[in-house]
Amino acid sequence: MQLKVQTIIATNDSDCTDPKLSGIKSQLQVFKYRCYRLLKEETRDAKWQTRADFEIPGGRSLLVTPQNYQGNRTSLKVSLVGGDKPFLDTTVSLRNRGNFLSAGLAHEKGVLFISIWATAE
Amino acid sequence: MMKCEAVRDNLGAWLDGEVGHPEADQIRGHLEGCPACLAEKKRLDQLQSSLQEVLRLEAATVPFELFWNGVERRIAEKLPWRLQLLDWLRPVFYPGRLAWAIPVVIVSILGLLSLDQILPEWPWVNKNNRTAVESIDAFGFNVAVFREYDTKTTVIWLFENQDDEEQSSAEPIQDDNPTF
Repeated sequence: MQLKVQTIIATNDSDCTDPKLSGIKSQLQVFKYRCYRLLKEETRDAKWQTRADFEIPGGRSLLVTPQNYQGNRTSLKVSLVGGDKPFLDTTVSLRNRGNFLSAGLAHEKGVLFISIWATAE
Repeated sequence: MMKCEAVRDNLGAWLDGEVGHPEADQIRGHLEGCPACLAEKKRLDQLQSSLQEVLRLEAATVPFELFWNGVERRIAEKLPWRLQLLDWLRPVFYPGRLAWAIPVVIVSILGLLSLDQILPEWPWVNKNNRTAVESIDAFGFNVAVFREYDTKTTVIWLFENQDDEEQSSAEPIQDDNPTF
């Protein structure tokens, strides 16, 4: 299975949308920030029941463990930590080739959006 | 030898030629020797003659020519395609033949509802990007789960605690509420 994590910063500095974010533009447009920029994108092959660590700008880490695949849906255990400090620990079930967003962490003068994709082959 | 009652029961059928050979001979033989049954036979003969005469007179007044002309015209004329299609489809919707439609409709509905299971990779089949959040722990932070209506996107919004020493000192930010 494959995991993709996109880290995006949303700011109100000026009107802009990163062309690399065209795939999730409609998802981001719901939030009325003026500018969305892709800070980092990482795609990684992952194994079931094995944790994959993604570095998030600002000294945070996203720890994703694919749990199982059933009925075209992938179950993921997702943890967001800053150093040793946990921010979020969640288990989600998302459609194959689908994504969800985790947002709200402050970064520089904006807010981080993390888009997490899962594709089961 | 047949009895009068049996003969009279079959007299009408015998006159119409509907009685088989041995019974017909027996009735004929009985009538030759039974004046009462013969009188009954004559009465039925007269009744049939009267009915035929009435029908013949009435039929003469019916405008069959017009009726047949109408039938011939309707046979000859070409129907619009809509009516032809309706005529062609009409037998399909006879109640007796609708029985096949019930399982077909049920199977079709179940098929449509299960398309995302049958053809999971077809993007037009499964546009639902909704993510189910089975459990969530934000370790004291406030957290909200949004489901965006149009794109069916699930968003987990983490409200960073402004009172937190590490965050407030490192990253001054005006407002951590989501802006919709």
